[in-house]
Formats: sequence, C-alpha cells, structure tokens
Amino acid sequence: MGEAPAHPQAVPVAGISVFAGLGIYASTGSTVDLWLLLLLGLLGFLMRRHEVPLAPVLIAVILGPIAETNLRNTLAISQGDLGALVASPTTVVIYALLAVAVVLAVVGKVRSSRSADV
Amino acid sequence: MSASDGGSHPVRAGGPADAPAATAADAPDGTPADGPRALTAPAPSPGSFAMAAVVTGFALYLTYGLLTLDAVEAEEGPGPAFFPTLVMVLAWAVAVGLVVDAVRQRRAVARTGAAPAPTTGGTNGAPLQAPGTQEDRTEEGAPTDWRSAVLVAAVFAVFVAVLEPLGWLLAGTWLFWGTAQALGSRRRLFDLGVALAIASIVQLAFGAGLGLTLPAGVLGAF
Amino acid sequence: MEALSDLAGGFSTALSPINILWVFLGAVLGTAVGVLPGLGSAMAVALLLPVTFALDPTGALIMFAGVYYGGLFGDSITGILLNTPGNSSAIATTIEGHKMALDGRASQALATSAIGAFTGGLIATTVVALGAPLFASLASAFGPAEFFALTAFAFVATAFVVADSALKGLVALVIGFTIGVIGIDTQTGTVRYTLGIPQLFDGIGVVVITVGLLALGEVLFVASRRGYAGGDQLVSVKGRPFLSRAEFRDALPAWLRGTAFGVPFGVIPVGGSEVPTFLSYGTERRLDARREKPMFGRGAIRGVAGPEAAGNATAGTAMGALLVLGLPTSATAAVLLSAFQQFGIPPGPLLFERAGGLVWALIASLFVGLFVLLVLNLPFAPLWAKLLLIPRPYL
Repeated sequence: MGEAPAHPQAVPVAGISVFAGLGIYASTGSTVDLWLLLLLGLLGFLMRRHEVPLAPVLIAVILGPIAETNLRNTLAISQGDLGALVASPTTVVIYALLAVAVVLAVVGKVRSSRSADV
Repeated sequence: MSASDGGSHPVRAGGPADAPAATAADAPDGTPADGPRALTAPAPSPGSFAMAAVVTGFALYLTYGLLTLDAVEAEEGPGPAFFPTLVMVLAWAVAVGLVVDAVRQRRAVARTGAAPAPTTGGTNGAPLQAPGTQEDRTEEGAPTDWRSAVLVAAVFAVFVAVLEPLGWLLAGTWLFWGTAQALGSRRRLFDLGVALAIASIVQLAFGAGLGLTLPAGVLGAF
Repeated sequence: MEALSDLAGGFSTALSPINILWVFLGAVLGTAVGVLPGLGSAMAVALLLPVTFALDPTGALIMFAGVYYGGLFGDSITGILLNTPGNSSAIATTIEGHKMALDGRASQALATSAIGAFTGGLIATTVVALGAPLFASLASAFGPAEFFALTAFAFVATAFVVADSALKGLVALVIGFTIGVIGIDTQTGTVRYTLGIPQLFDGIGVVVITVGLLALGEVLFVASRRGYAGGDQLVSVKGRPFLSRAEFRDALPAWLRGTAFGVPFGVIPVGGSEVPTFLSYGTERRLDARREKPMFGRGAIRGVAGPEAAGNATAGTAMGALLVLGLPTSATAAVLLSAFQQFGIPPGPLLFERAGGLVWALIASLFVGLFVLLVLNLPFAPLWAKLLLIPRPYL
C-alpha cells in the first residue's frame, strides 16, 4: 500500500460497478453473462485507452446480423448475381449518399490537418 | 465515455490566459484555447501493438470458428459460412494494417525521439486542437495506473465467483467495498457500512419492487 | 391529415398516467446520471437499459426516450457548471456556457440551454412526425437489397465518417461483427462460434455488450486514471433561471439557426453528433463578431443557444431515422434498436404497418418528454447544481 492519494472517483466507480453487475444479473440471471461482462469491460478499457471508437461496435453487433440476412436473401433471390445489390434506384441513391458522406469527411479531415500544420 | 456519440471527449485544458480574441493558440475553427476539459486525461499515444494483438486474436477466433464449422448448407444463396468469411478477411486486413501502423510509429519514434503524427489519426498531435478530435494530447497526460484497473477487475471477478454461493447481499457488499478500497479509499469501516446499506437497499428494491430475484446464498436460510 | 389523427392517438397513449410516470422517471434518472461528474448520457443509457426491460414494451421505450434526452441535458449542465461536458455534443455549449457561469450568469446559461434543447428537439420531432408517414410509404417498397444498402450506410457512416481514423473505425466494426456472429444462424440452424457453451447459442445479449463495453469499460478506464486530479471548481448557481426579454430575443435566432444545423445531421451523421454543434458555434461566433458589442469569449448567450439547439435537433432526427427507417446512427440509437428487437418489434418501415400505434405513441412521448424536461430543468436547474455540490467533498 503506497502513499498514493485515493482515487478522486473511488465511490462513484464502486457504485457504477455494483449497478452494472446488479443490472445485468437481475435481467438475465446468468453468471455466464457476468463473466462476459467482465471480458467486455476489459475490451472496452483497451479500446478506450487506444482511442478506438465504441459506437461502431454496437452498431455492428446489432446491424451485422440484419445486414447478413439481407445480403444472403438478396443473393438467394438473384441466384448469386451481385448486381442485384445495386439494381434499384433506392439502393443507388443510398450508396451515392454514402459516397458523399465519405468524401465530405475526407475533405474535412484533410482541411483540418492542413490548417493544424500551419 | 469516448463512444463517438457519447462521452466526454478528451479535450485539452487551456493555459491561464483568457484572451477573448482569437490567438495563435486557438484551434483552427476558432474555438478558444481554454476550452472544456475532460474529467479524465486522454489516453497515451495510439498505434501500439496492443490493439493489433486484440484484432489478431479476433481474426484467429474467426478463422478457427470457420474451420470447425459444422455447416448446414442453405437451400438457396450463401450459407452460414459466407458472412463470417467476409468478416474474417476484414479482420485479417485490419490486423495487418494495425501492425504496420504500430511498426511505423515505433520506427518514427526511434528516429526522431518524438511521437510523429500518427497515420491512423486525422489530425496531428498538436495540443491545441479543436475540441472534438481524438488526437488530443495534454501536457499532463496521466500515465496508466495498471494496478488500480487490474485490482478493480479482480474485485469484480471475485464478485462473480461468489455471487451464487454467497448470495447478493454479501457479494454486492464485497463488490462495492472492494472496488472502493482498490481505488485507495481510506475509510474502511465507513465504506463497509455504505456497501452493506447499498446492497440491502438494492436487494429490497429489486425483490419487492420489480419482482426480480437475487440469489440468497448463504443467508437464504434466514 | 391522417398523420395528425394518428399523432393524436399517439398522444392519448402517451399521456396516460403510467406512461407519463415513465417519461418523468426516465427524464429524471437520465438527467441525474448525466449530471454526475464523470458520467454522461452514454453511461446513463447503458446503466438504465436493464431497468427498462423490467417494464412493458411501450413503457420501457418511453422511459428510454426520457433517459436519452435527460442524459443529453445532464451533459450540458456539467459542461456549463464544471467545464466538463458529459458528451462530445455538449462541448460547443460548454465553451461559452462556462464563461457565462464564471461571469455569474450560470442560471441564464442553464435556462438558455434548456430552452434551446427544447426548441431543437421539438422542431426536429415535429419534422419527424410530419415526415414519418411519407418516409414510411416510400420505404415500404424496400426489399432486402435496399435494407442491406441501409446497413452498409450505417456501417460506413459510423466507422469512417464519425471516427477520426478509418483504421480504428474498422477495428470497431470487426469487433462488433465478430460478436454479432456468435450464435445460431437463424437461416440454417447452424451453430456458430459458441465454443460449445450453451448459453452462447442465442448470441451475446446487447445489454451485456452495452453495459460491459460502455459502463464497465469506462469504470476500468477511470480506475486507471488515478493520477489525474481532474475538475475545475464548481460554479454555484445564483438566482432563478429566467431569461430577461432582451436575452430571450437575443437567443431566439440562435436557437432556430442551431436547429437548422442539427436536423439534417441526425440522418446523415457526417462527423458525428458534435459536428452540427460546432457548425452552429462557428456560425454564431462569426455573426457575433459583426455586432457592435461582440460577446463571444466573455459568455455569449448565442454561444449556448445555437449549439444546444443543434445537438438536440440532431438527437431528435436521429430518433426519427431510427423509428422510421430502422437506421441507427449512433451507439444509443443502436441500443434502442436492440431494445425494440428484444420486444419483437423491429423498427423500420414495416413497423408503421404492424404497430403504427406504438410508433405514434413513441413520437408523442418524445414530445411529452421534451416538455417534461423543460419543466424539470428550468426551475430546478439550481437543484441539479446542488447535486454536483454534494458529492464533491465526498469524492
């Protein structure tokens, strides 16, 4: 035990741990889930430390299966024809918007990194 | 809290000067130098091997799962191995990319003695950033206190292990008390009291209020 | 207009006493958690999610909406009073907001922020309510290819466009995809990636992931930052949070401009939820520089009004995009989506056909929630400030 001062947020951290553990166990009743909680917590910690964004993880977890189902259905209906993915005008519009968003983001980044270098 | 839609962004704290006019210290879009700050210091420079290892682990897991897959083929269209294969390819690509990036960072640091602009970042590491970018570095970057983090994780692990045998009251008390102690709280007995109180309140509230049952464990006999 | 009568129906559900209770409770809890230093709206959502599951679907979702908006407001409160925004979308508000607080005008800052949040959210939700049937009918022609395109859009938007680094965004996606793949493949019944553990047959629950990654991950991260002292002094709130007529008139155009920035970004999250707030901040600042008495840098009301309205407008349309298109553009939206799924009601164009009543009830509750928050926060802002005061010596 060193002489280091107590963590300024010792109490809230403890409280959150309790709340988290409690919330999960109360809603699922499974100890396995609690172990998963711990593993994911460690993963989340690493991600925070290395500045990996967390939002895409949740979106991928939830939309991934949906994306997979729709992808497989599309290809099943079209008998493996990949063109079916961009066949309708709606899909074209969506992908176009996607491209626009990416371009905007890239341009924005290039611009801000340039001005930061100045 | 650094999920990109939520969480306090690691933003630098400003110096003592408080000039309303835009100074050279201001960020490119004019937000003043003494802008908001995060409650916790930002992480050390990115691009280390840890994330590369993690992603490699995921890639391996994906590969292993594919190899041992006992697939029931679909009647039409791609089967259950299709999507995982896509993800696996992506995972390996990302893992390789991370390793390359980490190696590049190491080499640059060795050469110049200072961390360069990380290629994985959009903007370089100049401390005077517009708030909202992830590449912030404050002067006082706090080093990682591994011991505290590991202790908290260990306390939690013990909690999970003893929850069912010992029951919520004892396990919950341990969780609170142990975590607070792990973070250096000096008030041993007081914290114990608080822990017990919180665990009891929660037990009553959840049991009576929401009808969710928590294990009684050892104390269930009473 | 049919939409109006549907909306009226929604209101009658939303205004039932029990549902009002849930909205109220959610708003209070959300604000409380968002206000506590070190926590933010993401944490509020993560921690309160398991609680919402104990309720019936309508009540749960309504409460969740209250928590979400409440958390956003709590983020701004900590920003204004502690110079520590609880969420990246509150950073822009904090810049001028904290200055106002230091200048002794904390209650005005809080009031401006509350009204701005209300305005932005209200207008955005109105847009959603009016546009929803239109979008729903458009989208009912969606087939699997269109849905896939939507999901691809969500992936790219959140990973590349929102994160600073494409590589890191991809890392997050990979991790998420892998976790999502665990479980039984519904189309063929094949067991995937469970390592023989039966509890994994249904995959890993979203609640576990949310609480684990967000809450526990943050806990460990905060634990590891022990050396960091953190926090400026707390600014105490004096006086009632009312705006004088002049201040009100000053803020009004900023509220509207901020909303205009925020509405489109809820659907196309270029750069994330902070971008519209910074756009608003930059615009207000430039406009301010042209006035005879520039206020920026010393606590300008417009610096709080604009960004706050923008942030909540974004949240409003993002909610709308989720409900109508089934398209989550943020982590909280994704969590809400999973909550819908848990109850067996996936949002999206089909939702209107199958459970239109629920959707309108939700939209109505969003309105109710906004009003509740306004009522809660305007007079009670000093109370929230006290909440910040109490734990600090204890911490």
